Amino acid sequence: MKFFDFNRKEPSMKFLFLMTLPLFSSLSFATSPPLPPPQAPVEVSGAWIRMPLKGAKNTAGYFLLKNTSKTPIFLIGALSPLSPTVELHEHVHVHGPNGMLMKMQRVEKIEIPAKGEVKFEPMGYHVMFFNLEPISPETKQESIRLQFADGKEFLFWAKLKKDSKAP
Amino acid sequence: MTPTLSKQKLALMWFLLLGLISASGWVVTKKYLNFSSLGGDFSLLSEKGPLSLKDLRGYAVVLYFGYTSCPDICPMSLHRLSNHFAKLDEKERTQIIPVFVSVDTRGDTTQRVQLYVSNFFKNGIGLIGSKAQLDQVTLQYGTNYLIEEAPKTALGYSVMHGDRFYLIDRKGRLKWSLPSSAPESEFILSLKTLL
Repeated sequence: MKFFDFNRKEPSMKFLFLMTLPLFSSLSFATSPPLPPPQAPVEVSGAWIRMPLKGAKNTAGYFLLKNTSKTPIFLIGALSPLSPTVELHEHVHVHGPNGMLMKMQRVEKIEIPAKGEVKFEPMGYHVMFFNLEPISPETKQESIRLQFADGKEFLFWAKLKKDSKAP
Repeated sequence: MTPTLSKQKLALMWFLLLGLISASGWVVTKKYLNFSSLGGDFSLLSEKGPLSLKDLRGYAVVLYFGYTSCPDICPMSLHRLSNHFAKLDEKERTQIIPVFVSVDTRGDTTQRVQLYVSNFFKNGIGLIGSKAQLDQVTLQYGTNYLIEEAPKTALGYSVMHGDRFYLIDRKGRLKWSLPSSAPESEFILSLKTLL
């Protein structure tokens, strides 16, 4: 007997039975449906990303991050469709032989104090987007997903702006 | 009765104070007033081939050292400079050439640096150089840069650089060195003195 008989109007019983198998197996083996990670108790305001410049492979994002909970939380990373590699960075000043030099370096963890806030701003903390994906000039905003040490996340939109329009 | 200082003690204190002031003056002079020895010609690589400062003779030049992967200092400083340029009239603007020298010997190419400069200036020039060339030119202009391994970050290294503009007149002489944060009025006045 042919499994598929395209001349038949109705599907065979065997075909229908086989079609239902994956359904049952997924029900029996899946331990729990994928839930979105719990939302971190934070508020984000004034979020913006520097509109990627011609010739530049990276850009940076800034925002004000408030912890609305009564315990400190720790920001450990971020994700964004803007780039495959997103990192938390900070600016530090170092003494060079001929005066101050500016340096940026990766930060593994940033504490947001209980009921406190941390500002991400030029010359301070910033989110770095490396090896940017091609972006259309019409893009007005892009999402950033912050990741915290306790597994919680926070998703928000940041406006893409030129420095001239930066807050 | 409150104790009073004797005349000798007072005189000694005055003497010490004057000594201190003149000594600090000497240190400051020693450290900052050797400006006339800074600057000079250099030869680096542009998209169109080797370029020396003396090839731009007749034009004023504003020199900056940075790199295209810079997260915010370079974009902000160049943006600020382009704003100052916008305050000049068209004729003045065409006589001043912004030159961006990348100190990122690992990541920047002539094409990338030229493209980067075009974000801010129509007549800007982007330059790259070898480590030896960059060491020389930064020393000449009284600044420096450093490239450090940074295995924890995606770039793999970090580039440190200063944040000043070097204003060079039509004859190739360094006239001013301004921090990028200098007030607009100071910038415009300094730019005009180059012409």
